[in-house]
Amino acid sequence: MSPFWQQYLPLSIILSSLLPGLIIFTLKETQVKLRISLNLFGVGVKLLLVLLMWQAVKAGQQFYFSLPFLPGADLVLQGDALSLLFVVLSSVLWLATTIYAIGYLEQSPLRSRFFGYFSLCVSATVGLALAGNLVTFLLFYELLTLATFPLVVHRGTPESLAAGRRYLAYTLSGGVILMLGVALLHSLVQSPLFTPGGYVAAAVSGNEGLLMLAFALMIMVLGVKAALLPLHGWLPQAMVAPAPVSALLHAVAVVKAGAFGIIRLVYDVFGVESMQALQLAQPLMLLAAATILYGSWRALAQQDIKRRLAYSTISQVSYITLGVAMLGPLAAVGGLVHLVHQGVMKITLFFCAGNFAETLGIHKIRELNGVGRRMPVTAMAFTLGALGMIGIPPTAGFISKWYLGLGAAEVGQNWLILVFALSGLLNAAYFLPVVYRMWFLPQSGRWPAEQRLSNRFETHWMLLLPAIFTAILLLLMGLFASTELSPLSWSQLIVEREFRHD
Amino acid sequence: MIDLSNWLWPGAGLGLTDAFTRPWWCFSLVLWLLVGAFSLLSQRHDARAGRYWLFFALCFAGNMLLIAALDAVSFYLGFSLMSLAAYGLVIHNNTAKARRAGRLYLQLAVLGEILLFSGLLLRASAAGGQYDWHSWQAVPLEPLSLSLLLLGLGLKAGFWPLHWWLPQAHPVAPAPASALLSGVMIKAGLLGMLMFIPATDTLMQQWAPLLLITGLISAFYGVLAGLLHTQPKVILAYSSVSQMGYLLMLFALLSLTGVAALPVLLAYVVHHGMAKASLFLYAGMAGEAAGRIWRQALFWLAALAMMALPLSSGALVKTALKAKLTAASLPGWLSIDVLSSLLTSGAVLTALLLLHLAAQLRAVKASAVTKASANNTAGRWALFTLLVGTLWALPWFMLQYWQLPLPTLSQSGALIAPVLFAVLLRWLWYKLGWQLPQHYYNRNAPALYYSLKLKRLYQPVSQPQWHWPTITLRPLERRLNRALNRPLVSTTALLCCLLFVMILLSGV
Repeated sequence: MSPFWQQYLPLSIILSSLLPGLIIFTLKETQVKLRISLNLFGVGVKLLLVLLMWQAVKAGQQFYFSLPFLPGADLVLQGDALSLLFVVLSSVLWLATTIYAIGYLEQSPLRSRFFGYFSLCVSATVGLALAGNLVTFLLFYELLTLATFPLVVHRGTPESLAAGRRYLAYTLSGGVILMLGVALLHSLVQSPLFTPGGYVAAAVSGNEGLLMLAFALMIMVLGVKAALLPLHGWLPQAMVAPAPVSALLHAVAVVKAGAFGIIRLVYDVFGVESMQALQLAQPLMLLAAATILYGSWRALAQQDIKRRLAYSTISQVSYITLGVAMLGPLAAVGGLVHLVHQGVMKITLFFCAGNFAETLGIHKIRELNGVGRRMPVTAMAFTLGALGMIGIPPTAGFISKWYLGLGAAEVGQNWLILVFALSGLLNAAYFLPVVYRMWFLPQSGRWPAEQRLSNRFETHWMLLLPAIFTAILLLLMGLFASTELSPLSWSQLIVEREFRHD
Repeated sequence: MIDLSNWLWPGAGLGLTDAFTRPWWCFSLVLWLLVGAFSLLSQRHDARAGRYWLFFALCFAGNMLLIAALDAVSFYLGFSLMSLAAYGLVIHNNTAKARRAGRLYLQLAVLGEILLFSGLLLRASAAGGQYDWHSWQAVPLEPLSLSLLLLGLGLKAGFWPLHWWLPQAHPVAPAPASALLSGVMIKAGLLGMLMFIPATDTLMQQWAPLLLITGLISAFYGVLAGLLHTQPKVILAYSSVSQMGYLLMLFALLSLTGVAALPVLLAYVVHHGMAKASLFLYAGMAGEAAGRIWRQALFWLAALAMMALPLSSGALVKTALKAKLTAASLPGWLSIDVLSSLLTSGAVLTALLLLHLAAQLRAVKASAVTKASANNTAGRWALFTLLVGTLWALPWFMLQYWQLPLPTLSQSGALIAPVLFAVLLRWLWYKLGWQLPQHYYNRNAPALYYSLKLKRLYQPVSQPQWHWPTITLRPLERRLNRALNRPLVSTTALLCCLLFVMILLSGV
């Protein structure tokens, strides 16, 4: 592998989905085969490149690519361990979601537009993961907002348009504030590369107020995407989007982008020491804890499957924020690993919800009675995802909760264990009744709108396969958490590199 | 020992390296296999047999895993696997009653798991990130982690006051499932206590007298509540509450005697598991026993072992329990004389409960039993005989492996006297027709009511919600557009203002 080639690796990872996406826009609606092969080709190339990069980063290499952009702030792409965590997550789940989306939208109109923006959205996510400084991050962050909007409103119904408007109102006004925050920080300390341990430490004395203001502004904006408490309103409403979009929004792209931004901000911009010096962690922790409980509580009363899942996301993503805000190494492992675990679990749940809706026309929870007999595989995947969300071993969710809990005890915040316990109870309270309906109750009446999508399987194989894949993945990530391939080991590697600088 | 910490979850290790896990594992395996063989026959004509075997297998796997676990996470995995899968066994009959009981069971199981999870977390953290429970033995307990562990594991073990689910869930499950629930699965709570609560810890030694009292209350409560019920399996479930009280006493004595009581505890666990499983199996087949003297004799053999007749396993463990109690270093306010007289009256009550059970079992009609082929019936009775035979072979094992003392003649007398007294009481009771007013019998447990309330709480149809004042930006935008349409001056002024603000900010 030549150095020249290596330098362009981060860029080519982004381009591997961007170029097919741009070509797809130009395709006609009828060129189905070409579009599918372009999509899959993009996914394949991206996975291959990510694999190469993963190998190299594991060996301790750093990737760096820069373009002159603004004075004092180049456009920098950088591949470190943390960005790779997110890149691997989004690439693997992109594969699953692409297959799912192809199956899901088989007969619907405007597929070129959909898949074009779909690829654009993933490019923006990967770019955001690879961004090497705040300015680049900001750029991709805005790009992500713009690329997801057409996906949210894809159906074009008044409902989805309303949801899209709300989404734009939240995220665009957020974008302006983010720019303000970035500019403020830039004026204080410039925008150097993200470095483990942060780079504001030198400027802390004398600038406490402004730094706190910049932090608050940026958290506020990242909190919109990560659905932190007062700013979560758009997420449940955005549920009207097609299932693959919801899956992508919740597991990979938007919500995770916010959470990932918070991680970057806390660890690589401010750093643990400055966070402690400025006493910024405690409010963030309180906010995240409140969001965890609030989201779970609101999820209880939701009768629509996807809405319940949306509130569950609000709660679960805050685990990541909470893990980061605790500022301890074990908690950080928990938070980072939950970034991956939550993604895989939530995408499984959304795939299953989409399968129920597409195959049987089920949207409400009370219509799920007896679905376990009609669609056993999907129901099994849903059950696994739900158990993972509650934190029952050996699913992935248990591992992240265990580390988060250990982290809370490590930093002496025992009350957070109470938060986790309560949230676990609430999770059980809104997921177990659903599981109970699926398996133990008899079918009540006919299915709302049954379709025969496959002669051999319970539904179209392209809808079934991604759900099986992610369900197995979440089980494997929990069972084999200690192996070198697991997200847990990778998170431990990140945290090792991160906290070594303290 | 198998070290899996590089493969599975962090710290994973399996093995039977201890004095208590090995016999525990063997005993559980024997009971599971025996009852499993029994289920092969009894569930043969079950329409939902597939479901039964699925949950049976999951519970089995969970139970064996948690015994062999060397680290907290493996134990927790086995524990939750068993607890959640047992739900399928509880509601197997799918009656309204079973579903109600299942709901209560699941609510408490999840609660217990979360409490246990928090307790384990605190312990693991106190142990400096070690998950291996052997290394936790030297780590001092804190009041919070101790109470979390006691509550979380106690909800499974089912002693008073954490027994709510037992009398509801055990009776509604199929007979072999209740035999396993009462015989093996509730013991998992006790095993967890043995593993995670070091008996020699100072805090535990302070709390041990309280646990001793709790166990005693549980022993009495179980019997008294059981006497007020007329369904055989409910009576048996209450008897389990009472017996778990004795086991809790032994657990407390473990701290007070410096682990000398461990063999007695193990013997008691095996004895109660075998005896209770036999009685539950019999309760499922009671109708077939009517008029067949041999079958009834088998029941009496199991019941008498439970009543601690000399030469039975019950006699050995009860005598040893008393001996350990006298040897324990009790605090001043606990009088040993009072305690041992209470134990004697406890023995009377246990015998009374079993006599009550026998009377209720006689009333079970044969018609309630589904018709089974002759071979099937014979097979089930043969397995039952084997189980009772094992129960009566236990004293030999206890003498051999745990060196429990054989009761002396006077001790044997002290064992027989309560039984005779109970028979006398029962006879008087029968003759004089003593009865409490009817409404005292078979009362619905308040726990079911609260369980329903709880369900209403977490499955609300709607929640009170407050709406944030919605800010509609559209009018503002319109106004802004109109303002921007004005002549150039105002626009420029606006831009200047914006620029000024930005310069001000960057200048600071």
